[in-house]
Amino acid sequence: MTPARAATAVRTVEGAIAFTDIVGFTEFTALQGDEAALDLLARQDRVVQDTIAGQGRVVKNLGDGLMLWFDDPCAGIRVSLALQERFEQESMTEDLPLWVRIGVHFGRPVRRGDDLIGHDVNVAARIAALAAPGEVLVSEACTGRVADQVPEVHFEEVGPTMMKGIPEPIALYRATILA
Amino acid sequence: MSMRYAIPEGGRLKLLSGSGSVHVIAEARDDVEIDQPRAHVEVRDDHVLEVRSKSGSVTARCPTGARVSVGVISGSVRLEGEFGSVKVSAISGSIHVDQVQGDVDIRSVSGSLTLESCGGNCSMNTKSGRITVGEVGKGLQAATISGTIEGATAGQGAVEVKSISGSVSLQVPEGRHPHAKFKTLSGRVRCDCPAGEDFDLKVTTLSGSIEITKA
Repeated sequence: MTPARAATAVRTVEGAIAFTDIVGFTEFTALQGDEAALDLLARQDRVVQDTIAGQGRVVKNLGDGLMLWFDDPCAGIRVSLALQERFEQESMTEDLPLWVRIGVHFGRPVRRGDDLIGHDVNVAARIAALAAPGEVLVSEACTGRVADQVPEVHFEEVGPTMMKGIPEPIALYRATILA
Repeated sequence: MSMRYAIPEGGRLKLLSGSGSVHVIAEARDDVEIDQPRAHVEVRDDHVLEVRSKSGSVTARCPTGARVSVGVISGSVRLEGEFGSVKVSAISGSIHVDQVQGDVDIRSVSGSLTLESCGGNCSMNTKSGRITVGEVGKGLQAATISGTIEGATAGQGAVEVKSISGSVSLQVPEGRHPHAKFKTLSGRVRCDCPAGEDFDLKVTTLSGSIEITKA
């Protein structure tokens, strides 16, 4: 083990990685100013902390988005859907909309301290970039792991997706709560 | 040189491309013709004819009414003719789709999206491009950050449109009265349609103007 690796505990973990991304944050900041932008971030943080409690953790803050981790992929999907419901409620009651994209992927990243790195982290980030505002997009790797353990969730295929630097296409599914 | 393939009964044509444009033409024929000699073509167990190309443009000809899905990293996508259902995703590149009998899902991280007409539900999402929809038979969901959104609805399904700074202009047929909700921070709102309960119409922008007119 190299001295650098020895200094920070490194191990492979298995679970679901989710990325959130506030839609149009740059434009929003330009239009509304830094104070309003900070308020928007605070609203996102509050909703996420309330919703994720006991089911996963916030790995890190990425400016206008968050990286989340769930040992249980079912929790990853359920929390992501619950987050979108809360963001929608926030948008109805506040003047400023809180539109968020969420991408969820199952994989085996490397845990380094509290951080996660690796190919599966990159895939999850790219899935989030393709999601529409208010949408939860889930990779086939994740839907395959949850099988029928989330009967309240409907997965609809949105088509094949090619991603830069990732040789194989990734099938993505839009997750929604069954009425 | 082009190659011809039988499309499975009730099957779907799936095209995957790394870089390069994808052009699919739906026409009166029974098979699929692929014009990209380096493409890898496979008939999968799930009745999907899958075409993969790493680079270079791909042209495919398929039967009218075919179900088609396309995934590209960079390059424009053009679907010409009448299709059964369409799903397209692109990381960068514009997407143009002619007519679709059923549902449509098209999305690009950066690129404009155009759909002539769709008989089913339609979902169109891009970060920075313009969205243009000729007419949608059922529900419409569309979102962009900075591009404009222009379209027409038959008023038979829920319409939800979101834009940060781009303007939104929608046409509603005479005699269809939307249950409309408009929300904008600084954009101008104009709606020529009488309010009603025929279908839900929800448009939200930050600074883009909202204009709803009778077709």
